[in-house]
Amino acid sequence: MKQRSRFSYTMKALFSRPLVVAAAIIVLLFLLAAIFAPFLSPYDPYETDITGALKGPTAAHILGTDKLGRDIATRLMYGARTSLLIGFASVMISALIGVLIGLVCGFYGGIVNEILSRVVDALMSIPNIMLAMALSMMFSSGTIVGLMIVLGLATVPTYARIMAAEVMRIRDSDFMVAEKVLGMSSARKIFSHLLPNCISPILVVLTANIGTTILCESSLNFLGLGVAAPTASWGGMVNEAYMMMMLTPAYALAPGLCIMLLVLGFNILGDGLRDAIDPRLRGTL
Amino acid sequence: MGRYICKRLLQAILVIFLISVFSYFLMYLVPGDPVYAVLGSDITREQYMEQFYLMELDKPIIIRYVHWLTRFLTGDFGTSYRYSVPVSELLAQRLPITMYLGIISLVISVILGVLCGTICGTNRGKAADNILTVLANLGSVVPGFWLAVVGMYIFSMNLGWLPSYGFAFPWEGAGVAASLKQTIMPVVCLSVGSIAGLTRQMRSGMLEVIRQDYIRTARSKGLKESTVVVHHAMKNAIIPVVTIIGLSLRNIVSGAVTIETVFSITGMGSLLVNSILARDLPVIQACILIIAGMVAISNLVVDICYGYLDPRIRIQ
Repeated sequence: MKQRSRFSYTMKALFSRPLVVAAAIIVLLFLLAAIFAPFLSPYDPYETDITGALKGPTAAHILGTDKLGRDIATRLMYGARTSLLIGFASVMISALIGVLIGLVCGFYGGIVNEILSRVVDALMSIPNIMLAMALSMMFSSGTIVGLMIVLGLATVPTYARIMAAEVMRIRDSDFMVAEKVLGMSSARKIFSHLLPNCISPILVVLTANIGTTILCESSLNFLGLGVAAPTASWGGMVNEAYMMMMLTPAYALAPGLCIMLLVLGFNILGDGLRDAIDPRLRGTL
Repeated sequence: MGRYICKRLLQAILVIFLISVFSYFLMYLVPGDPVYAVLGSDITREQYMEQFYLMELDKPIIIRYVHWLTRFLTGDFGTSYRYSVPVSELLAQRLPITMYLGIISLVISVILGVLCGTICGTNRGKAADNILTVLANLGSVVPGFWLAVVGMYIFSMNLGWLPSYGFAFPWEGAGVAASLKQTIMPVVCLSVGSIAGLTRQMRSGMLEVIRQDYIRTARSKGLKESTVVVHHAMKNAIIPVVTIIGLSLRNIVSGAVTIETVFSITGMGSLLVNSILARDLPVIQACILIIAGMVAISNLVVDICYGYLDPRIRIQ
């Protein structure tokens, strides 16, 4: 009962701000476009038509056609599918692994935490995109699942660090001492008591990280290290298009605007969530 | 302070060691036979065995790692599979370009970030704050490669003001003006994200500081507002900003990967992309180790500065 009322309070605080509502609507629209792409567009995203290639916007093709004659607006919707799938899945993968590592390290502290902190420092010194690029060689990418794993693993250190810090913060609080007195097992202490108390900061990071993961994903796709050719991705579209910008500027501009809007949506949602959970921070970021 | 520096130094050495372990072992997890990766698959049995022993593939990976590290420390980074030249030669050409662009971007980011953040923090809720905050939010979500593409479309293709590709140092043949023109767009694209991040951090720092009692005291002493802002507020608000300078460097180097590709700049970023596409392992190892090492060292410097600026940190 207590948990539920707190949840509804947070949701109310979250959606009381017009900016957050707008961000939620943006994200929702992209989600709907991604899910219902086959119904929203009469075109096949993979069917090529060389004779109709690189046409500017017309009534039939509102954003024109790409270099193989495919409808750009349709490709954008399927690109949203790629980005959202990868964004959600890789954040889940990294949060799951990172939270577990962080929990164990924060709980045991001492030498375990010291070792982990240095490993995390080492991994975080490698820029995310480079780590993802290196990992993409191993998990023979080119598939959406491959990219999910690559981007998921590349962000594990971030979660591990936040989680470890969070656990250390509450490890010495009175209720943890009480549990020690009660003789609870470590597993029960960690999963039934520490985890629920650390979940809100992780949730905030998770939301905002969907955005940064999508940014990273689009960079990889732009470089040709992401999903393989026929699959639509926003980064890949910019890459195909930028050499022909004099002919069809919309081809390169539209995917970039989509990336910006979607990432902005997730960032504002993340910020809003943080403010709703910790009202002291409201308006300072 | 001495103890703090020693501790951080030891940690940094450990971190760099771990990076070297990671970048070495990662490459041996890549599927495929390393011998074929060097010579191609069209080789005789003898050639294969010769290369096999040359690469010490008959020895345990730990020993190979130790040998690799000793060679690395003496400046021998191996030979590129793709270019067939020593990796150190490649890096000597490529690294300065990325460093040059990166350092310019970092300096610009820090100056503009601190400035914009201070303007926002001291004018909370006013037009200047709103405009800059919106810009900072946009700046932190715009993909660098797309910004580069759009910049190229506007300033190279349509207006013809700036060149769309290439880079040369000002002291090289093409001259200062030409080099400057080639530098503008990459530097802008590299810095936008960091400026945005630093602005947001500086703004929240200023908002935190400006409501402290000592600011009220300073004002009630009758100090000029500019003195209060510069000498009392900024000095304290800038401390958390210092910690994310290391992060900014990381972002700028990340940006270099895509932005150098768009502008056909032969720096470290484009070298890394091409090496990954060609599975050129020695180059990838060296690139990752050097870049991560630089980030780790900059983090060390930042932490020492932080300890110097904020005495509380040293004791923790």
